[in-house]
Amino acid sequence: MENVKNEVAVSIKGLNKTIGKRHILHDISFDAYSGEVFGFLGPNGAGKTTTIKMIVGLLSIDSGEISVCGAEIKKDFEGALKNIGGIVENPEMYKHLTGYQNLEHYARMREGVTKERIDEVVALVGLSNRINEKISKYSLGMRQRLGVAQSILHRPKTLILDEPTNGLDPAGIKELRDILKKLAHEEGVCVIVSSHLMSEMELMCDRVGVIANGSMLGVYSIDELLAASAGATSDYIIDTDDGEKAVEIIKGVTEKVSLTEDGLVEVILENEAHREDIAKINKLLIEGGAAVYTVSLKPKKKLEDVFIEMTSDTKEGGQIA
Amino acid sequence: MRRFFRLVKNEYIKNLKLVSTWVMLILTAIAAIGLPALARIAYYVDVEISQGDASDYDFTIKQELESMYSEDPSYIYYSDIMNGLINSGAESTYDWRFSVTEDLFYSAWDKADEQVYEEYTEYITTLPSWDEENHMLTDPEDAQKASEFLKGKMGEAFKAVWKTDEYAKPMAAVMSNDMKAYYQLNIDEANSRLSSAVTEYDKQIADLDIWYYTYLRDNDVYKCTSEDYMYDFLEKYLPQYYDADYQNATELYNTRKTIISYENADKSSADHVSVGEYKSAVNKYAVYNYMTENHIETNVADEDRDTLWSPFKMTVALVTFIGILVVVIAAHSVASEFSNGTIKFLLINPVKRWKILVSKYFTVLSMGYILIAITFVLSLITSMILFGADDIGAMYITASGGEVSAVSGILYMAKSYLLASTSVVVMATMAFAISVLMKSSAFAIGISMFCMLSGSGIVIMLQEMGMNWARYLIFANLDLSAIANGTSTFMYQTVGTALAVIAVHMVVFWLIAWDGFTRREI
Repeated sequence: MENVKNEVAVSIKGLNKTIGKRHILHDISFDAYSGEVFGFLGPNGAGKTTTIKMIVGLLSIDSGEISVCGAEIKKDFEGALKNIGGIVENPEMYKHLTGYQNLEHYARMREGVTKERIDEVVALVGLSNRINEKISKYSLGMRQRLGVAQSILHRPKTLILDEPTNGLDPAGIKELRDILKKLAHEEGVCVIVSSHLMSEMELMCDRVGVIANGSMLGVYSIDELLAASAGATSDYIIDTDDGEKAVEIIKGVTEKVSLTEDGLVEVILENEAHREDIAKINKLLIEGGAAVYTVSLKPKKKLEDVFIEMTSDTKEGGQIA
Repeated sequence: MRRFFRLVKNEYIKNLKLVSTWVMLILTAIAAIGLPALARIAYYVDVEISQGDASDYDFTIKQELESMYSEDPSYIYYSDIMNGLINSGAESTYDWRFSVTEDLFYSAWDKADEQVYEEYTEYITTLPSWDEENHMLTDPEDAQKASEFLKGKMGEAFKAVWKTDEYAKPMAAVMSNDMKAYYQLNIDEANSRLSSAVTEYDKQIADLDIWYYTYLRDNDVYKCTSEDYMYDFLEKYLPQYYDADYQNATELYNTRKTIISYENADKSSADHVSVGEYKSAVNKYAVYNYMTENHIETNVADEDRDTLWSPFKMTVALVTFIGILVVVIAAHSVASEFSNGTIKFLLINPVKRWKILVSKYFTVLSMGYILIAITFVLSLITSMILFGADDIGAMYITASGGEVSAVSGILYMAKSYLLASTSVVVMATMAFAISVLMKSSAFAIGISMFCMLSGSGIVIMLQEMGMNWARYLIFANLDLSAIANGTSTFMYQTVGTALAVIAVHMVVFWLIAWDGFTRREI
């Protein structure tokens, strides 16, 4: 599948959207490739759903271009949509129809979906036993599963799922993750998944596009993000009987030392030789007559924190844009 | 096209899986069957009463004589003649011989009266108690005398008149029960009038009489009673004394007479036939002329006859009822997709939005017409079962400007249903547009229903307030059959203008729906 992996499935260039007086999207551009799970990450109100709605043609495009598998959505709507499957916001189905009837409804609007295919997909999402019940009796998780079934029914080259793990139980999330990975990596589908949870992206995605306040902050591979979270320094917390005295002593080794409100000493050491340095500091403290109770390495930043740092906008005080 | 019908199939499934759609379908079916059934029940009650009455109306000549005032001076002569008639075999007062004899008798009596009148008035003034001022006899004895005098004179005069050819000949025909001879006498009489006629009017009337009696003679038409309000009763209970051809020919004769009067009379005279009467006579004449020529008994256009057509015609009103259901379906069709959020599910497909809109519109209208067709068929079948299918082939015969148009009753009814469906289509389109615009079915149903139920009332109100522009409102133009018949709210409305007004509104509704649906941000 290496050959399809580099094909651009969804290409977005300079996308702008204004609704009313609010400029919601500023020059969004990114490419998503066949064979990858592309995470579309951003806090609530960042513009994820707006972008997705524009890709599937629910919202009009003010300026910019969206192409799906080579077909531009403005010029060849039906050509572009043919290659898309997706769920936008909640998977709303016709409540008075059964799950199966809903899938049939969808199949009639598509080409080449056979009865066998419907049964196959229903089995894949684990709804075989409940498929002939009315949607009004479905739980959110079941509807989410049916939504996924509907979106992959016609074997689309691009699958766009807006927060697909909403309402799923942990087992369901894992199953979905496996289905999506399998589709991308084995069948060469371009899967675009939006979420506001970095932890979810980390487990599922190959690459992540980060969006905040309607602007694209960048597209990163998960490896890049992990490296970024690692940083260049290590923080140590030292608990002693006399904090001020300890700070004086440590200042002989490094200037990056401070006393916390709790009377703990925080030392920031370069990664290169932090193990040697902390051993040295420990020795000096004991020699200087300070009683050292504990020395601990402060936990590294999580991807989540990186994400929050990247997307938090101090100007607006964390308000939803 | 195949793809389009797959969209339509989706819409049908969505609608048919709704319980409310089935409730509507069942209600429609109940109404379609129930309306003729109710008519049947009403008719049954009516018949029960009529059958009770039938014996009251079915007088024999004998009963007629017994019920008469025997002190009347004419009674002895009348009863004498009638007893002769009974002896010759006539029984019922609906026998042609009775009505002819009765007419002849009173005609002769009047003639005798005329002859005696002068002599009588002279005689009473010679009596001693004559009061010139008050024109009366003050002495009862004198009054008795005068009465005796009159009785004697009248008897003589009547006997003389009765013996003349004018009465003796038709009476001979009556006594030998020879209807043809009776008609022949009338033809002869009219012929002699024709040869001596001076005015154009007299000639035409004589001609008409000749035609009339020749028709009756040549077609062996039974001469019915002269009281035409009894025809329905006779047809139902005493069919041996009823002949539809006689009724038609007589109607034709009477309307023709009205026309001749109008065309020949002095137009300024007071008892002159009015233009309105004349015009309606011309059309009536044309209809009866057609019916007479083709010996047609049942005219679907005739309101009075108790056939399957009168209950079936009532069911046209059900189209309005269907209109309400279609408005609900139309309003629900688009708005529910928005309110349930399924619009995203629907539009995230490689189908242009206008195609989806058209498929929904097509579904709404086709469901409407299917409901109308079901109502038509169910009503027709129910009417046929309950009222008999004998008249199913009857024609709907009308005339306008003297031109007859005759279509089969079934076709006429189909046309009535279709004309009535115009408002259904317009209101459904309006509901459709509102539901796209407001994304709310409650709104769409509310507004459309209000327009449907109160639109014509508002138009009548505006018309009474003298606001002539209201004639261009959509509600003033929906009742195409009324406009075609000239019975619309505003005068001089034409079907052409109505269609233009409807077309303009439809285009506007469609543009609203189209623009709203294809450009809406979801």
